[in-house]
Amino acid sequence: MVFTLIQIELYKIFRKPRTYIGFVAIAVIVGLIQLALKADGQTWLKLMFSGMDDMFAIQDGNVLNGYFVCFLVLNTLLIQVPLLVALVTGDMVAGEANLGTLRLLLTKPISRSEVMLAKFSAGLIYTFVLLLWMAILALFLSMAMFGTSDLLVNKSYAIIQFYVDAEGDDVFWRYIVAFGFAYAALATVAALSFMLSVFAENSIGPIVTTMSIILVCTIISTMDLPLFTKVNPFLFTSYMTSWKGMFNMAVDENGAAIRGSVYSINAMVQAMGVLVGHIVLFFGVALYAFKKKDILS
Amino acid sequence: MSNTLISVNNLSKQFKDVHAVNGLSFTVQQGDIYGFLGQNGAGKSTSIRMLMGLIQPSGGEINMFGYRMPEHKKDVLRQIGAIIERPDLYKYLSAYDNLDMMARLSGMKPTRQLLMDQLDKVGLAARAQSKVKTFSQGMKQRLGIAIAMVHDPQLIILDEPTNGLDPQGIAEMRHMIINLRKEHQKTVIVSSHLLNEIEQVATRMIIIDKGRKVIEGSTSELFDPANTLVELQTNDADAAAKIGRSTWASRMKPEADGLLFTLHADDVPALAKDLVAMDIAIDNLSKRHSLESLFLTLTGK
Repeated sequence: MVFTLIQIELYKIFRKPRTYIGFVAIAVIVGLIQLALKADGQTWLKLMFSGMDDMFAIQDGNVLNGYFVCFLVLNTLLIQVPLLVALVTGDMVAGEANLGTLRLLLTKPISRSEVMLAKFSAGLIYTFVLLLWMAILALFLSMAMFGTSDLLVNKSYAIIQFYVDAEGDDVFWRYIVAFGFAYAALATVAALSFMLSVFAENSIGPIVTTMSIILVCTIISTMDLPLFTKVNPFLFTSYMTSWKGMFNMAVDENGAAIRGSVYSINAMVQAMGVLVGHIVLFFGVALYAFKKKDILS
Repeated sequence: MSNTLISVNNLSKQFKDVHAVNGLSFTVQQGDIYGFLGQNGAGKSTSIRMLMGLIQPSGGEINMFGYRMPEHKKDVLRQIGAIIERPDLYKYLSAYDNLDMMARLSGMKPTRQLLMDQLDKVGLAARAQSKVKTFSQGMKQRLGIAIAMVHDPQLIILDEPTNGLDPQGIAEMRHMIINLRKEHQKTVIVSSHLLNEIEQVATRMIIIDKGRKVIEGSTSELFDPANTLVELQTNDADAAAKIGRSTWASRMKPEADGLLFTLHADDVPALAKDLVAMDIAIDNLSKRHSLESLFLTLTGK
């Protein structure tokens, strides 16, 4: 029955016009960035690195390649995508309560746990498809438009950061894993808005509250005040950009990037643990509350 | 004696300080059209929602089809088709899609033929692919009925089914409820605040007020012909005085817009004859709905 329910939930999601707002928005933004970089990207790159000539030399080769464009796009977009996720997942329970269809759904011989599991699974699948769409446009389309070459990535160690080249064939797998981390971050947002959706009777509340929570927590995460630094490790927003860790390479004693390395595996594992923990927590609260909820709408 | 499908004992629901339902007990037998009657806010919808597992009771017991609710919700709901308050449907989907989804959620693997037949029964086959947002209230109500019936349940629950319908729609709904019992051998629970609607379809009924049962019984038991209310409207200023001097005086009560008699149904022709004999100009002489008189008497309204 859960499988049937998931199919039905996905059908409902993808028959709603609002679902496609995210896909269109991503296509427009990515398309504009790609067009702008295609038109005048080299000039922009020179301007960007003009003060760094003494830190490293840009080698021959195509710096403005598909990998680099994808990095720029992700860096820009992954801040806004939570809103596009919440638009759908924040509507999943509250929207149905508002329409009155939640009542209809729960008069059928299905348990509330099954309903929640199916709705959340459908929300996670939507989030995955949205991210896949972003990956296709930002990575694969950029690779087709700009080609592939070495990527300038962060070379990190304790004190300073500067750019080194990651060889082209050491980049693609990093993107795959990075998208995995980005997915975990977006799934956390999906779980948060889904949980809030259980407590609301219309979808505006959960969407706005989700974005407000992300905004407040992000501010706390980015300010180095002593009080905030104590709670930062527990905030999911501190790990929203953990995907970038895949592009922090370890260096050897000569300062050369170590091929296939990730600077801090432990930090990446911790990030994934916190994100998954939040997903489980948010879904658990949503499930508990929904099972106790009186359907009055 | 027919089988008991529903047995409700001492059911209660409290929302903070408000007792929406308070110690309600009733039984529904197989084959009944069971009327659930009460004013808006009397606790009808809350009671029905508790039957359907939508609201958790604060106290009491619900047994349906031999199962205890809400512990065996799935076993119970498999045998029920319901429209609770309004037929709220997925407006952005077609009638066919709505029906298909709900049939599958009821555990069926419906064929296209079956779904089209079901839509045909409620007169919506020609609009199968139209989105529900283009439907009138009556069409939504009929689609709601198709959804409630698609899995061939034993019990149909219709909460305020005539809400928002025009007179023709109300008549169709009444006809359909009677047919569900007569031709399809279904048991039906129908709630309404409209007294005459319940009166015309129910075989048994419960009247509730402020969350409590006022009375429960079969229609024939509840309507006492000895207490029929008859209204007289007249522009004869001396009518009350004339009747006051007659044998009808003790059974007459002045009201704002006329005179009200409480008498046996068989005495109505004699009253009409005497009023004519007393030379009272009759604008209107009519029986009040028998249920209305019962309801007003019992609830003290």
